[in-house]
Amino acid sequence: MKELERTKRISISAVLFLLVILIGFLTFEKPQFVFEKNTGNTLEQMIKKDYILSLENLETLDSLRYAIIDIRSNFEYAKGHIKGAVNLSSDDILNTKSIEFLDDLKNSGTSIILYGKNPDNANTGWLLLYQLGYDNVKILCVETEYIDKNFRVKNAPLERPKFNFAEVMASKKSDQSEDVVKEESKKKVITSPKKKKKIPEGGC
Amino acid sequence: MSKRYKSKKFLVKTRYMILAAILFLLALGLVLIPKYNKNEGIKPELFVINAISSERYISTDLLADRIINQDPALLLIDTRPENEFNEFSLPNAVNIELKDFFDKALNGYLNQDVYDVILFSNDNFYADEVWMLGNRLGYKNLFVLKGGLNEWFNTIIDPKYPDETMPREAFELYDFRKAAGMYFGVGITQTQTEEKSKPKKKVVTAPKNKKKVPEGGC
Repeated sequence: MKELERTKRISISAVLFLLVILIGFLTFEKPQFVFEKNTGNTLEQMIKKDYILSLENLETLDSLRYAIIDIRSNFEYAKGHIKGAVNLSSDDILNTKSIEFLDDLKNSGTSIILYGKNPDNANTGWLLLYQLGYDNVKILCVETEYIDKNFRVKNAPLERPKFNFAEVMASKKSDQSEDVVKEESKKKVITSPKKKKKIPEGGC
Repeated sequence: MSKRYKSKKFLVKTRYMILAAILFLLALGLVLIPKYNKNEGIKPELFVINAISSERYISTDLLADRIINQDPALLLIDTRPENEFNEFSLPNAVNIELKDFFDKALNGYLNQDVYDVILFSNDNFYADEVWMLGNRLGYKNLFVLKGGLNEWFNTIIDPKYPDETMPREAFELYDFRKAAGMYFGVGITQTQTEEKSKPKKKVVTAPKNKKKVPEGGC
């Protein structure tokens, strides 16, 4: 009798165990997007910086081999954009439609060239797509503006200091030191202590 | 009857074996499951939301204010190359280039939750890159100095005098920037605001009664 009870217990626990596994399998939801590249790979690529193109680089490329993607908002895109560019705003970049489009480009061996308002924006898009496994992405290092009903694109120098910081600071400081020197160079005027006039004392 | 009994007996006898066989098969099944890449760091969806938001940017004015008020929770990190860092940097900044991101000694500065880390470079680019990697790995309290050192020099070190038509706030901001510049070592030069000194209040002084000299007398 005892033996039978023990086997019953074992079989019940085994069934429960199987059930847990089954539930686990059924409720498992595969995430839609997974970063394929880890941060180490990404960092290497970021240091290489060979994904950054200038306008001159773009002209040398065969226009059939790349697609230009504008990652600004639809509104900005409607005002003006680079000729032949497709709008995929960075808010919508993970939509199924956008992803299908990007997959098509990747499978057909076309490289993707991103641009935005400035290189920083384009770099955000590049980082996202590269980490998701799109290694055919490059960015256009440009600033885009809409001025006087004209859409203008110009090369944006990366990380170029506008001032020689150390020199500027030194000159700014020297202003101060000059002042000090000037102050020092003033002739010291030695004033002889004036004798106080004595108040005439009343006396008797 | 005997057949049934026999099969039952067989089942009872082999029950453990059958259970073990099922579990073994399941274990084998695990090998067949397709390879599932686990995300390192945060999910891509969250990555995009964080990256699009401009919450990470801190203005030069706010940073100057925090430095001057000696905010103890402030940690400045210069992401430019070492030679540029050696020439000039903000006070008390630590130099961490992008390539040193995973350096054991330096990573601790980025991956912590005690300080507000302000990343800066000549403009936003290098600092943004470090921020993005930090964002991917879920680091907290990382900020980027908007416009970088170029903006710092345009605003704090060498601010432009506002136009006459600008609102009062612009003049107040200018005064703040001038004063902040002095804190960061800009020479004390006569500012235009000082030249445009407010009309002094006329002080009407009541004529003092002259003290009468005590006259000597008898």
